[in-house]
Amino acid sequence: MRKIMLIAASLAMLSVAPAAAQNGNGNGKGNGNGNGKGNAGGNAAIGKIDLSPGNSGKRGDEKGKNKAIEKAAKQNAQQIERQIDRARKDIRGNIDDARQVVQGNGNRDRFERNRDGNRVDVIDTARRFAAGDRTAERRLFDLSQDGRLRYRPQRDDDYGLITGCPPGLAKKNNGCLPPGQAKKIARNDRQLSQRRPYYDYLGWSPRYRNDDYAYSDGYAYRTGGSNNLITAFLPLVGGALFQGNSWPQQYAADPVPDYYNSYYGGGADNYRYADNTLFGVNPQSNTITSIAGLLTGNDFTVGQRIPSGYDMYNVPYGYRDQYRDDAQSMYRYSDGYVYQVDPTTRLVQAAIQLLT
Amino acid sequence: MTIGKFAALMSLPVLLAFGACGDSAAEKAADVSENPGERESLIATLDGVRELSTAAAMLKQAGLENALNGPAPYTLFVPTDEAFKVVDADTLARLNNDEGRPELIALLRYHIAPGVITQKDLMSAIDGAGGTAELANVAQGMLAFSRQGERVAIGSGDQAAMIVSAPIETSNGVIYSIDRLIAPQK
Repeated sequence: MRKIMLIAASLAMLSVAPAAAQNGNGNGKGNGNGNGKGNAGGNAAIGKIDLSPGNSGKRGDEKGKNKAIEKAAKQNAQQIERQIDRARKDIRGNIDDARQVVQGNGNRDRFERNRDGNRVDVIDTARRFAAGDRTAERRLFDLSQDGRLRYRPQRDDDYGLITGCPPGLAKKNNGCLPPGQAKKIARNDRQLSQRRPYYDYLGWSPRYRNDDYAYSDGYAYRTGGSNNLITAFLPLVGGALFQGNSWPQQYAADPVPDYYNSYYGGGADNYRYADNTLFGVNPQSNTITSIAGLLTGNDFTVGQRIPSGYDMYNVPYGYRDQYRDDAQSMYRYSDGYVYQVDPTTRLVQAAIQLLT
Repeated sequence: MTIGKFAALMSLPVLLAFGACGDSAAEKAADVSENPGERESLIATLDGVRELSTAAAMLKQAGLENALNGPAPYTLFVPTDEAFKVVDADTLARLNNDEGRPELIALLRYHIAPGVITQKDLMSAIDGAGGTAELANVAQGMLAFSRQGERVAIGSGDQAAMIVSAPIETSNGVIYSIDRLIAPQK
């Protein structure tokens, strides 16, 4: 049944945070950068000293046992110290990276705005990445009160970039890349800023025009500093976000609302959203199976003016009889919905789902 | 100018270029069923149009077949094979390999708009909007349509792409042939 949702203009739009994003749901696991991981293991090992024969001398020999405990504790303490030192170096490195980001943009503030409009402490973010914290997945969409995807600008101040080390490129003492690999990326593809499609796709803003971007293996990398260290990265549609690849672990795995699955013909796959694109994803394997829909990302809010770019009547074939422009209303299609618009005020009056 | 006259003018260059070839965009446009349910999808239709073969191959290379074969409607502004001849060989090679796919998709998105825009819708909008009508594409950009003489231009000045054929209506959208690639906005 056709479902018409008339939402009063005065209703505040409700941001529904996808629950799975809070839970981690498996995507953020298993790919920490390694350097921060050892602490937990080291601490846990203190209570698990092996007192079996051969390791600690004669069984029942309290003196020998104590000696063994002391020795093991000492070894563990040294190990922990070493790990802490390494972690400190990593954190130091990432703080330096973060400083490069801040200073490189002429911004003395250590904060950036994320896509939720919240201030993000880039140094803290870098520190958490250094400690292997991949559980803070990036949420890719919110929902309006009537269940539609609520878009934000594709690239906010932070561009959607993920701060820290990219997957598979563990943090080393020289930055995010092992020696050689950084050079390879830099040598191969430092010219993204010269290519118009990338220029717009990445949403270049004046703030970032002086940054260097490199492409490698499905990701855009932002590099900076005298050593060209990678400071942030972005999975690209058609690169990391393409059929056959796993859904990026840094992205929340929330499926889009059922309506989008039904309208765009999802079948057995879940649809997920990133960068104005709907992807079919196998829910069992977490593998991207298709690019299922291309979206405008235009934000239609009931009670607000229609976005620009909708001068033309564009309602799909099957609905032209029901939704035809007249003196009272005009109708425009965008991203799976038809919108009823007041032709005089250009205010959006209703969002109409198209399933029958 | 009437829509019928406009259609005839739009189809003229293609007819001149390809004669009476049954696979031309003009022939295809004239041959579609009145009933959208009996038509082929966007991708299937493109496969049958001779002068749009380069773009058809690129859409597949970009992995957009599912999206353009699905139920969601799109209007495509498809550069002809001739239009691709002015693109340098290195760029084409880059766009056609896997490494260049993100760039290819970013480029193709400029040529895709949501919904069904028939020729009548297009002309009515241009005239109703005072000569220039705007259309949002799926690249977060905007296409500006205006009349240039007897033709319809996308963009302005020397860089404008011209619609060179009557549109082909498919089961899930419309295909317009254009004579050059749409350049991303500056």
